[in-house]
Amino acid sequence: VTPDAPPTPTVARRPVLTIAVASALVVVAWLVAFVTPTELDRSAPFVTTMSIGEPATGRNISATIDSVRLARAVHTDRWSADADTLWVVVDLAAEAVRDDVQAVFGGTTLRIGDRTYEASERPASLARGGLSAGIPANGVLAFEIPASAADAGIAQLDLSIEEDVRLDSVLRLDIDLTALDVEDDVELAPTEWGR
Amino acid sequence: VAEPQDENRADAPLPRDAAPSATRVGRFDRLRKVGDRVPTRWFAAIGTGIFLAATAGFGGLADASADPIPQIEPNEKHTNSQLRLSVERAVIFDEFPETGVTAGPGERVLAVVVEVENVWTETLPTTPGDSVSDAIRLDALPNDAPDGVARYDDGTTSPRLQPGIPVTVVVAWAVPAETYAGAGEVELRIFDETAWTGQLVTAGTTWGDARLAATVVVPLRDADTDTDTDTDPGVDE
Repeated sequence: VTPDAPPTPTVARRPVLTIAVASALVVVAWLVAFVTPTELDRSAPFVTTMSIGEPATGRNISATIDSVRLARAVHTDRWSADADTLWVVVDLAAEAVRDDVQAVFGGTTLRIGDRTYEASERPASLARGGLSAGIPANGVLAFEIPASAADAGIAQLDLSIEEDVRLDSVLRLDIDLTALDVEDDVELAPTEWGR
Repeated sequence: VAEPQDENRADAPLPRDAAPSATRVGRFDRLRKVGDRVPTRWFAAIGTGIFLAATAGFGGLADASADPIPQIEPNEKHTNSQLRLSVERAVIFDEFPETGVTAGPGERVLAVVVEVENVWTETLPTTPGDSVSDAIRLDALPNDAPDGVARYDDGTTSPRLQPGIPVTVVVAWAVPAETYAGAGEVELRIFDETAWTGQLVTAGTTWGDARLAATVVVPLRDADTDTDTDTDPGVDE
């Protein structure tokens, strides 16, 4: 640096340039921070959208939803429930795809608003039962929800092999609960294999 | 700026960079003289005095009296961020296998009828270490977690609590027979838990750090000596 050198025009324009470059860097940094995946995104499940009657397949789960019903009471041949709640009854066929060594139907949730309900363990159903590769199990999943919960409208049914769905497949069906008629009493079908 | 010890010497020379401006020197000198009057050596004593006075104002160094634990009535609801529960009554049996609890030699089964609602957003298990199993303890055996939880209506053992649905459950312990021999009531402790969300190497939300929140005393009936058949909580299968 030579202190005697006369100031050049570039030096005079430097503050403007500095401010412009700094602002641009701040904006770019904000954009990078904005689009960087969060920890939740990095472990997000792979979602396959289902529709009623159409087979949907993920990593180690394949399912076909036959119907979704809403009922005030449900029963099997040796169990019944008629408390002041509603039941979302899902008739489906489900099977494992790759292997059935540890294929337990562990992820069966229904999300309504900010609440997540698990398929009820009270009646015999496919929930938490073993699935076989290539042999579909036909049966039901029954979700017990508060009577007021159906007013929320949209429910999101998620099916997966593991309860922990991080980086695994999730089969998802959006259900409009307000479009369903509320039945008085629904008989839950027993599980049948290989139908 | 000059070093502080310079001004203590009467013949201290003026700092070289301050020399050209007489007004600046004068201003700094006056500031230093004001600063010298501040009794810095008393600061520690004054600070300690203020601290002690404040401590005395809040009740001195004696242990602060803990908030009294409220006692709730039977059937009165206690709500925390996880559960809303009320304790109805207690029954003691020689055997009560429907709750999944087996009484060993010299033991009986104490069953407490509890209405519980999951007020959180996700399904809660009732297995040992979770929700209702962590929320209730016997005052007489405070370290014993319940040995079994079953639904009152259909007998489902370790039922899962769906959000927003109140459920009546039977919480049962195998207790030494003499603990409640001849007792007409049972005192229970109710605990609140805090939700922890896992980060880095853990994931999901778990509940822990149980803190005593309330106590409740409920009537106790002995189902095997009492001829009144109404005392059977009657878990239907």
